[in-house]
Amino acid sequence: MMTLDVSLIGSFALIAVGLFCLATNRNMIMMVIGVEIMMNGSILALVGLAASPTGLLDPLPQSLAIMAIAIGGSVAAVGLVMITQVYRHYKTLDVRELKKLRL
Amino acid sequence: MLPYSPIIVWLMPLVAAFLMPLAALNRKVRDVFPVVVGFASAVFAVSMIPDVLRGAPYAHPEISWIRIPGIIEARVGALADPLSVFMVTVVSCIGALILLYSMGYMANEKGKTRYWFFMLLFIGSMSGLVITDNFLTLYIFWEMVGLCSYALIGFWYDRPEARKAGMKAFLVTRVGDVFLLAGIIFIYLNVGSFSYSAVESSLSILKPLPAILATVPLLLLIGAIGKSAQLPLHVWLPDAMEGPTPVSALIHAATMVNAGVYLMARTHLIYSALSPGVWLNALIWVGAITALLTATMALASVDIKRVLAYSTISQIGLMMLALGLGAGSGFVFVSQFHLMSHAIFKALLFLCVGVLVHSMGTRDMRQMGGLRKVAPITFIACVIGMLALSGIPPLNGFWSKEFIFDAAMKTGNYLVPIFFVLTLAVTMAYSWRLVILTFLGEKSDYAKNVHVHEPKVMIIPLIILSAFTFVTGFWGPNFAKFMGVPLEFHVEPLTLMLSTVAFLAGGVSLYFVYVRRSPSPEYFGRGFAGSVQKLLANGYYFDRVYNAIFVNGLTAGIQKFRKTHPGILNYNILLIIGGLSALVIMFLLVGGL
Repeated sequence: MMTLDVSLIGSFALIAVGLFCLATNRNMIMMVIGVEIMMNGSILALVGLAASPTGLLDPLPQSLAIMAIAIGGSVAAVGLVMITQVYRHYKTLDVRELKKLRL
Repeated sequence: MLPYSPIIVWLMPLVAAFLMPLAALNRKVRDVFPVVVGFASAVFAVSMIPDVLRGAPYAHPEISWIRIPGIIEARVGALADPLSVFMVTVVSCIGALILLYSMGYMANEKGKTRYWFFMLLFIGSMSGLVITDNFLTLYIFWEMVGLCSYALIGFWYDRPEARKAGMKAFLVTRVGDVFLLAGIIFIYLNVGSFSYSAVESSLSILKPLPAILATVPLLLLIGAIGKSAQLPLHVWLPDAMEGPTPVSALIHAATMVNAGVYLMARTHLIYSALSPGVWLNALIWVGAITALLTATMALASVDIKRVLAYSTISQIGLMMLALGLGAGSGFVFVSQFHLMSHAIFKALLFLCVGVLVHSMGTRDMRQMGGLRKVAPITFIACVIGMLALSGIPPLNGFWSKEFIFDAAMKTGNYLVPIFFVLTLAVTMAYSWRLVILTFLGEKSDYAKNVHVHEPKVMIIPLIILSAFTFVTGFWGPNFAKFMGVPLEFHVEPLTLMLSTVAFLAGGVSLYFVYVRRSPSPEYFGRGFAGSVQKLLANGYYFDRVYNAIFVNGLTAGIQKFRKTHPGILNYNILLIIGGLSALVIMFLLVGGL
């Protein structure tokens, strides 16, 4: 049970950090990093819930976790590409500039 | 009947519609193929009539369409009873003639593949709507008809008015459709089946109706009001005149607006054993008020197609009124007989007007006039159509109107015949006003410079429909036998006298206003008469009010709601955190964990 507790507390902490990062930063790169931290927190919860005291490994959650990591990488890539384009256009990384895109 | 007619009659146009892109590979095939399909489907429809007359019920193979054991089971099939066979015959025969006419009307248009695709889809889904045997597929075809009307009204999408009219038709009928869907869901929840026969048999078991099942016909009535353009929801039909004229003819004569009347007739047959009085009264008053008010709107319209559109709404109102006069298949017969007459003469009138609009390039009657010499065949056909519309013997409109009038006199409710006589008088006035303004009198300056031509493919349907206008009036007894109703009709002197009075009232006032010009045209431009004229020309300001409430009002409300979305990401994230913590606290307090 210790593993579960530790991993759940850890994942909660990671998600809280990610949310704090999203709520306080205006820099878009920092926001992407915040999203990534939250993602890692949720993957940690997944792995922790899959762990069993006897030490037997269930391959399904493991493979899901690996896939989630890969997807997280691509999310970051897409986000960074968009940020690059925004930077070229507005010459700033401030997220408030994007308000102009709103109708 | 030809084998599998009840299925093929609607499946063939639908399949042919999806084959249109293939047929479009060859220019010649593209224009001939849909017309051939239309006529073939009409042959299948007509072939069902002898079987129904013989009374042999069509053994319809039901297909289990959706089945999740214990949750839902939907069986679909075709139903060939007198009502559905009659409707499918009207739809496919008039549809085929309109397709033939389109060959001439649309000869030089762009996007013909799209046009033929939607026309075939329209005819196919309307045939399916009337011949299916359950509410579920009826609803699906109902929506398909709505989609086709949207696409065809907005056919000339580069014109903003056409786009707006298509959108309006789609949205306004959607209001009715929501109520129809609610009614169908109530039926399914209470009866456990969608099919008409199951509803009918379960209703006869449940003699004291559960309240929720008694409201179903009213919900279906609102659906029919939307589709058939009755009074609160009629605003889409006059605007639908932005589409090509054959499309208007199809919407008004064969498809779309008749769907509502068909649904009411079908519900009538199901509920006739129970005859909830509220529902019948609602039908009568929706019909009567619509018939009179929209007929007066037609009096002041200068757009030639809008006059006919208002007249359609008014005539559909008469059909609704006929259904509401009493319970039983006799009243269904009366209403359907008028539907047949109306389908024929209204198709004829629209196709006549189409000839003029096609060559003049305008729909404004003030720019026409004196066209009887340049378009003689159209003139004669139009006069025949107008004789039928205003109900002059021996044309079919006279017979069907007398049937309704006779039934109305027998109910003992004296308000209904008064509305009827007034409608007759106004109908007389607006229909001959159209003829006087377009065909008689002097040519306007605009009309002098336009060459009116009558291509052969456009004239042939006119001649066929004119012949039908003469013939079908005398089919009353046969048609009653076909619907399985004993017909005891003889012309009552009182009804005949009252309709003569109505004709005279309409005709004499028309003569003074438009021929003698004795209250001068200026008289209608000022004072009390001027304000009445303005009121009618604006259609009693229905459009204005709806626009203020539903278009401008809603837009303003949405603008206010948008203010709560500032678009600052940090702010949004804070709200998300707040929501999450509220959820956590709720779980901790309630003890969900």
